[in-house]
Amino acid sequence: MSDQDIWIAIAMMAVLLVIMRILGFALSRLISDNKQIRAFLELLPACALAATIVPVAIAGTPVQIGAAVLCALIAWFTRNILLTLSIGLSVMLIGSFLAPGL
Amino acid sequence: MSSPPPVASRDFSQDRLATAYFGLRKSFGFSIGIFIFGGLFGATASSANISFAQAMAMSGFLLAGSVQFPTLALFADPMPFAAIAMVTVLVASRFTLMGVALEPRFRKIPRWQLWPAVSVITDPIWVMLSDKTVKVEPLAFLLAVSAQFILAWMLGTALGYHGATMLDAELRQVLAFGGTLFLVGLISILARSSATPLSALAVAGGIAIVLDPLLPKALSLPLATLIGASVGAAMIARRQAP
Repeated sequence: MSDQDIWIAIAMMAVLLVIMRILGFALSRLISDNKQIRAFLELLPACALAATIVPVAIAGTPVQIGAAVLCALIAWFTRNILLTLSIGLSVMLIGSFLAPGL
Repeated sequence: MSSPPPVASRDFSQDRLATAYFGLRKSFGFSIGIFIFGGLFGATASSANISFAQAMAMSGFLLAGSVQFPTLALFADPMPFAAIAMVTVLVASRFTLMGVALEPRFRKIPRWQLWPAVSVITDPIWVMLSDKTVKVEPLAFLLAVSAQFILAWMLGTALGYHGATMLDAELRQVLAFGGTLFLVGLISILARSSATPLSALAVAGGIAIVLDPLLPKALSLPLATLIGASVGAAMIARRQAP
C-alpha cells in the first residue's frame, strides 16, 4: 500500500467521524421531546456499545473472557476505570505467562 | 456542623472555570486508561507498518480506538476504501446516537460553538455527561476533558509506537485486548447508573452474540441495538408508571 493511499484513508475516516459526531446533535433538535422517545434515544448508544463489545469479549480466549468478566465486576463495584484496566491487563499478562496460547 | 457535599453533587453549571477544573479531576482516571489504550494502538500501528506521522494523525484526527483498530487491520494493497468507510460509519454510528442523547444538555449553546466542540466527543465523555447528577457547564466540561483525553491518547500512541519494539509479538497480542477491556469497563459503569437499565445492555449484547454468526454486522448491530433500547425504554416506562 502506498503512503498516499494511507493518508487518503485517514482523511476520509476523519471527515466521516466529524460528520457522524455532529449529525446526532443536528438531528436531535428535529426529534420530539416526548419522555418515552427520549428514554429510548438515550439508551441507543449504550446498547450499540454493548452490541459491539460483548460479542468481541466473548469470542476471546478463556483468559481474555475471564479478564473481561473480572473487568465488568470491578467497574461495576468501584466505577474506577483505572483500577479496572490495571487488574484486567495484569490478569491477561499473568495468564499469558502461566498458560501461553490460552 | 455539616460536612461538604460530595463532589459529584455540587453545581458547577454557572462557572466555566470551575467546571473545567472539575472535569479535569473527574476524568483523570479515564485519561490514564486512554493513555494505556493509546499505547496499545501505537504498538499495533507500529507492527502494521504505517509511519509514525500516520499513526499520530490517525489518533489525532480520529480519536476513536474502536474505529482505529479494525480499520488499521483493513489497510492493504490495494487500499479497500469502501470497506474502510463502511466499518467507520458502522462503528461510529454510536457517536451519532450519543449526540441525539446528549443534545438536550447542550441546547442553549449556539451551533457555531457546539459543532466544532462536539466533533471530538468520545465514549468516556458521553458516559460522564450521561450521569445527570453531574451539574456542569457542558461546553467547558467537554472542551477541558477532550483536551486532556487528546493529550493522553496522542502521548500513549507516541510511546506505544516507539516502545513496541521492546515487546514481543505475543505480548503485543495480549495487550491489544486492553481496548476491549476498557470498553467493557465503560459499559459496566453505565449499567450502574439508574438511567441505563442493565437488562437493556444484557439484551443488546445477548442478541448481538446470537445474530453475529447469522447476519452481516451491518444488520446484526442495529437490530441488537434497537431491541435492547426498546426493552430498556419499556422497563423505564414501567418503573415510572403510577
